[in-house]
Amino acid sequence: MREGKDHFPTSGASSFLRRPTIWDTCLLIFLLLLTFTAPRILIGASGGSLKAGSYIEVRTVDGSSVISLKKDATHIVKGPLGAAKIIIEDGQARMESAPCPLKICEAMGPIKNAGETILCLPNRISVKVTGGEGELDAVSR
Amino acid sequence: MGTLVEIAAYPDTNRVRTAVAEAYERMEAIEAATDHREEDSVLAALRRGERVTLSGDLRAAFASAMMIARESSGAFDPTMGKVVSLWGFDMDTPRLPLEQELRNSLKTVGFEKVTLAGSIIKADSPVWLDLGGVAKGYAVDEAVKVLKEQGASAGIVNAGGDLKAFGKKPGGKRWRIGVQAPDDHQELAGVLEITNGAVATSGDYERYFETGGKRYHHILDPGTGYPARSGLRSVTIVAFDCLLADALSTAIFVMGPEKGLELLKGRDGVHAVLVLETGEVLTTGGVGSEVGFERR
Repeated sequence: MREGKDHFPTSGASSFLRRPTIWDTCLLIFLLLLTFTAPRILIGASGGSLKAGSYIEVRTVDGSSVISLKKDATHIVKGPLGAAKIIIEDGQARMESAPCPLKICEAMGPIKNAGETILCLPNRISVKVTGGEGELDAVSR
Repeated sequence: MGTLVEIAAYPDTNRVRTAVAEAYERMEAIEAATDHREEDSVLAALRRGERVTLSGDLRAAFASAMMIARESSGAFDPTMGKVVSLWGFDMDTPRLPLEQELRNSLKTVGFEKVTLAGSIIKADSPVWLDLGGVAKGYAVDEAVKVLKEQGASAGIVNAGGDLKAFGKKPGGKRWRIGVQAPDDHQELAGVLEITNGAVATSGDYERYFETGGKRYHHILDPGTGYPARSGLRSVTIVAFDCLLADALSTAIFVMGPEKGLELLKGRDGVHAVLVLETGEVLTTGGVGSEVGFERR
């Protein structure tokens, strides 16, 4: 995992931290397409025995970035619907504002434990906490 | 909204990376085959009373669902489609149905009214199949098959908390799977450690709504049509197959701790962690020995 990126690109191709791979594309397409029974957003977790994580991994259609949770910051992330604002504060990350219609990602509140995920399907953005001690491989819920 | 699916597989080779992509595709195909919401789907034709032939995936998921229905005496019932639809949980638009609506919908429920002859479903009246209780588990199992066939020696497929892991992680450690505590997604009821196996949980905290001061969750009792009130908050099942774990967790949630644990007797390799309404955590004998478990 790459680490130590404390600033997320604000917009445009020139600010990509790296070019998207086929795996990024696969994940994002799959997030949009796969639905079972009732649709639901997963406030996911696949890491950390609910121990605080060290980083968030932010994925968009344009690529992904790893951002430290240890430094308070505001990050503007662009998706197909527009800019979303991710706030990092006191070791937690939250979706402060997003251009999606239902604002479910905003309602998910802050995440801090390894594996927890904020997912904004309309704007194709996922924010997942990674790292930390005693990491879990998944959480069954 | 969708279910977040995560796949990790080892070793990290081009072949295994390709297998991961194929595993996603396999799951998408299963999702499409078992979807009941599209009007041009096989399951929609079935509820219109048309004679249909089930495809490979649909047939496999249906046959497994019927097996669990029989074994659980209908506590798990794949013919609950109309009732589920009435509550709106399948479309994420939940509402409290009227008593009369519920009574009418319950007339369509009953796995024993349906038989599978070859690939053809036989029933005297329209069948409202809802394979949501097995489709995700089945898709996870099939994704793992793809990974193994393509040379993965270890991996995990996690579809929104219903998951299957195989082989040993790099470093030789077992897979550590948290069991969520009800009501607080940042807390765990415990941590399971498995090498080869599937884990699935049914809990009343995942999907619910409140109206008139009452809380209604999405795990419906086929006997009453209402959310099951059995003294349980969640049921986590460890089994070899995710489909089995998925369906058994639902059945046991409906049956309650006493009858539910009875259902598990004699099933080798199947283990359970039950969180009761009282907050007590019950585990079956194999949890803590065959399957590692840390209480939280």
